[in-house]
Amino acid sequence: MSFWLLALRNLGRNRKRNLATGSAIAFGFAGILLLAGYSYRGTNYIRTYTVYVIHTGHLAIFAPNGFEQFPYKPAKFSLSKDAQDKVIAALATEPEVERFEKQIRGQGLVGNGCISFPFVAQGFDPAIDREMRLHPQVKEWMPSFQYLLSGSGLWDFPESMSPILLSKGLSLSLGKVKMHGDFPPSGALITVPDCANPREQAAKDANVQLLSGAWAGNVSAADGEVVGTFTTGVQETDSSSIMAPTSLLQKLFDTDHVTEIAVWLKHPEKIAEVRASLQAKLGNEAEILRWDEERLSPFYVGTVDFLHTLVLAGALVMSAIIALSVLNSATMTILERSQEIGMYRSMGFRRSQVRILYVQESLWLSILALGAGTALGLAAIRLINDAQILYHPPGVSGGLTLVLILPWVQTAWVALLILFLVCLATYFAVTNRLRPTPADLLGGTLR
Amino acid sequence: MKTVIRLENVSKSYFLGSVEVPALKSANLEIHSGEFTAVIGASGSGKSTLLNLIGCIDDPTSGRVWLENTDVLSLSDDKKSDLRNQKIGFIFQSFNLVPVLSVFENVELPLLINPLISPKDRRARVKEAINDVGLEKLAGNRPDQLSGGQRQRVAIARALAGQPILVLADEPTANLDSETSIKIIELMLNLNAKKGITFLFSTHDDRVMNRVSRIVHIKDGVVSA
Repeated sequence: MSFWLLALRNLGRNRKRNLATGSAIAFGFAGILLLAGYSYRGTNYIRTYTVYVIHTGHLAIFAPNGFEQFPYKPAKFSLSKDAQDKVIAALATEPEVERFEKQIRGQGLVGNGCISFPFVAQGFDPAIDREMRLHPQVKEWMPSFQYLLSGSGLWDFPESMSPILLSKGLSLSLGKVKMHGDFPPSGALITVPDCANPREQAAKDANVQLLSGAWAGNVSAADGEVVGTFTTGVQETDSSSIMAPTSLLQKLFDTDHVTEIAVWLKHPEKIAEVRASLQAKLGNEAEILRWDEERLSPFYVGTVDFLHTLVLAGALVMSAIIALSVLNSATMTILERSQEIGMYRSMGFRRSQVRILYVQESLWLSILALGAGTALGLAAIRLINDAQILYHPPGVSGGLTLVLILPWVQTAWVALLILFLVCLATYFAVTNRLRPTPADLLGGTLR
Repeated sequence: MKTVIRLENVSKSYFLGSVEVPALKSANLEIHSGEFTAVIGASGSGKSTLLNLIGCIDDPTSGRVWLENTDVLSLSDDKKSDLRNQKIGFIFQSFNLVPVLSVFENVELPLLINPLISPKDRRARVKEAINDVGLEKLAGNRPDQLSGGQRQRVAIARALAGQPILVLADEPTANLDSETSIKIIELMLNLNAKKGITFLFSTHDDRVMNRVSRIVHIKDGVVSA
């Protein structure tokens, strides 16, 4: 026989109380698992969206002060051809760089010949865009995210054709519901529409006109061929976004500059050292931002901060409930078993040995309850995931399927924290009861 | 004969609020090896207090308690615990067996914390103690499967298993019927006779008086050997 065995068997002595305490631990832990599963999946979903889907990259390299000043003076605060070459030369010396991409941003008006709407455009490399859609991280964390709603990706068309993607709201506003691929291979004949019925007329071809101010200050225009529609995933931008090859937007803005160069890393955990190395090589000629900085990714940082606060608060409340339940149960048990403690002490058990015995009892109870809580939590996660529940987080376009994914390592740490709290609560309860002499614990006599 | 326990002017008082209640007054007593001693006294006379002090589970208000050549009061709490574990056996009026353990495991319990005993010796001692009280066929039973007399036998075996120099029992037959009580006393007497174990116990039972080797009277906290 051992203390561990004795402690385990002692659990059977007050089954109702132990069941109640064990249930508090099990349900509390299952709740923590659900919260953790929601937070973990949510965090990784938004991270993947930010880094890969919207092409932020792990690092974004701007001209000095480019991030802040570019919207006001794009020509001055963008990367010139020389600056781009220097950045690319520096990137070539970094073994951790997986890929990079020149990007350009701007705004203007997009029209169908009759009506025009403001747009915000992002220009990127279509080949990189294709790689992003097929990236393992995107497949892992956003398997059901439908980026393209109709038509094809930019990569299927030569840049000379000026392909563009319209966000779903713009597509509907402009009446561009048929894409380039919906027309015969020879293409639709572009005609000047009858503006009495612009949407119906607009649907007869895939052509749009882009109008913007060139960075030099003059007005500039370009044709675009709508090859697909997409969703940004965010309501705020779903009615005004355009995606196009960088070359098309450079043509529209009449410049060879780019806004930024996005960089993806092979091992994102090395982001700090790569950034430092690049900054050292580029000196004051570039401003390098991390993807998880609030000014570059406010949606990510804000949402993740909210999620983590929610989970931390929930976990703290549940841990406190668990600890107090155990403290209460242990105190009651120890009060009821004072005579038994006196018996152990009179037999020669040291105070520390009695403490160990009771802490082991609580440990057994907690381990069994955490096991039950894990099973309960996993079953609940399975049920929720199988139910394919669609929910609508604020600002997210089209809703998201509620999927919970458990972070095993973090969950294990929480379980260890609970075990520690349980031990601590029992330790305090039993220590308090061990102060009297064995004779007092026995009731003043050897009875 | 070797002196097992010696009390020198030992007093013990309890406090009921601010009122001091003397339970034992300047007690002097020596218990020798191999004695079978009964402590006789009315209820509330201080018998239990005397046994608690001798068993090192309570501290006197004044005076000194010697166990063999050790001044008990000079020991730390842990050392006193070790002393109880290795030198003293306790038999409780209400048995105080652990209900989730078998007879064997209950007897084994105090030996688990004795670092001087190997697991092999431990099992041998437990078997011997169980045999001594005649419960070898019930070694696997739990306390709720035993009669009151059998439970007290388990308690005696548990007290004996550590091979103590002194076994203390406070009214060990108080919860037993008269026939069983006689059997328990007979058992203790046999163990005293065969193995030379020193017993000190309190009792109200007049039938025990003529069976013991020594009687210690106690009245209003005053001990007269």
